[in-house]
Amino acid sequence: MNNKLSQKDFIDADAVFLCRIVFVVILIDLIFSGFSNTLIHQLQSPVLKFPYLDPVFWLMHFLHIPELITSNKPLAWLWDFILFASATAIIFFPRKKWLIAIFIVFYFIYYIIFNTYGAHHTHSLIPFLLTPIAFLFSKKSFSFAWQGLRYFLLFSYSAAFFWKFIRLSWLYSEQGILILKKNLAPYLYFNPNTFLASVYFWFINHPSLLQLLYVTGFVLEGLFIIGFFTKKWDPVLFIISLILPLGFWFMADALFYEMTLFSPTLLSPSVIAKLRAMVSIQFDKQK
Amino acid sequence: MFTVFTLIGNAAGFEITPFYVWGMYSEREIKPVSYQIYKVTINDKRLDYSTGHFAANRFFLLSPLSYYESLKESGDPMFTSLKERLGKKYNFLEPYIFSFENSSQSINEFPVWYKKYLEQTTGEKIQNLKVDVLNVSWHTNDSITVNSVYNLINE
Repeated sequence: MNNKLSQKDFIDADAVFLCRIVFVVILIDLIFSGFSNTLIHQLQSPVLKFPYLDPVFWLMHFLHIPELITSNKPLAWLWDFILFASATAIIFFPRKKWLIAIFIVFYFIYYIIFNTYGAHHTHSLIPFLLTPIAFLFSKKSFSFAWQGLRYFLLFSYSAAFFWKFIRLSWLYSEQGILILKKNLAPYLYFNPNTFLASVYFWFINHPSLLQLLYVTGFVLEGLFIIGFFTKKWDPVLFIISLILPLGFWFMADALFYEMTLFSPTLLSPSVIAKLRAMVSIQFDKQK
Repeated sequence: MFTVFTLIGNAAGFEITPFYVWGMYSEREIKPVSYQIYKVTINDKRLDYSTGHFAANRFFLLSPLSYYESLKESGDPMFTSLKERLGKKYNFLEPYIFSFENSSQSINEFPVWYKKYLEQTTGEKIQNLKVDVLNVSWHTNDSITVNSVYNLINE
C-alpha cells in the first residue's frame, strides 16, 4: 500500500528537487533575457503598447502599472533585481513559499510588460509564469498542482492540434512551405550562403517534405490527447514534448524552448525520485 | 473553473490571461503577393538582426517595428478587431480606451525609442538610423528578389 502511494505521489524531497530544477532553468532564462536586452531596465522606456483584446492587459494599463515601471529607471532596475534575487534565493531555500509568491507576482508584471511592449502576445513566457505556482503547495496538494500542470501541457498541444484540425489547415498542401517562407525570408535574404540557408533552400525545393514535417508536427500534437486517458504514454509524450520545439524552430524560426519546462510533469514520481538520487550521488562523489 | 474558462476562451477564440488559446499556425496560410523584410541601417552599416541575436532580442527588434508600421499606415488593428467583436458593447468601453490606446504622440516618439533600443542592443552610439521596408518575392525557390522599397524611419 505504502509502495503504491510512493509511486503515485511526490515526497517532499522530490518536490524540492523539482523546484530547484525549475528555478535553475528560470534563472538561466533570466540571464538569457539579459543577453537578449529584454530585461525591464534594458527596454529604454518603450512607447507603443499592445494590450490587444485581453482585459487583464487593459486593467494593467488602466492602472498604469507597465508605464510606471518601464518609465522609471530605478524601479525598472529594482524589478529586475527582485526577479533575479528571488529566483536565486528559491534555489537555496525552495521551501520558502513567500519567496515563490514574490517571484510569481514580479514575473507576472514582467510577462505583461514583455508582451505588451513586444507588441505581440507571445506564449513563450507562460511556462515560467505558471510552473512556479505548483511550488506554492505542499505535500499532497503539490502532487495535485503538478498534475494540473501536466494537464495544462496536454491541453496546450491538444488544443493546437484541434485548432489545426478544425481550420483544415493540415489539408492545405502549401501550409508548410508558406510558414517557412514567411518566417525565414529575412534570414535567407540576408544570409543566403550559410550551411543552414542551404538546408532551408533544399527543403524549399522539396515542399512536400516541408508539408510532411508540418503534418507530422500536427499528428504529434494530437498524440497528447492520449495523455488525458492514460499515463502509459507519458514517456513517449515526454520525448515528443522535447522534439516539438525543435520543429517550431526549424519551420517558423521560433524556438519556443520554454514549453519544455512543462515536460518533467510527464515523468512519474518514481523517475523523479531516481533522478534526484542520481544527482545526490554525483554531489556526494564530488564532496 | 480554470478548465471551463479555458474551454470557453478557446471556443470563442478570445484569449484572456491565463485562459490561453493555442491556435498558432492553425489558420490556412495565404500566399502573399510579396513578403516584407525590414532593412535596418545604423551609421551606414546594415544590422543583421537575423543572426547573432537571441530570439527574444529579435522579437523586440521586429515586432514593435511591425506594429509601428501598421499604426502609421492604417491605425490600430486592435481597435478595428475590438469594434468588430464587441459591436454596440464597444460604446461601454470607449471612456476607458484612452488608457490602453497609443496616442499620436507615442506613435511619433517610436523612432526615438527604437534608436535607443538599438543602441542598447548594439552597444553603439547611433548617429543615423534608417529603416527600409523591402517588399520581396521568391524568385523560383532559390533566391529572393526585391520588388520595391520604402522608407519607414529616417532618424
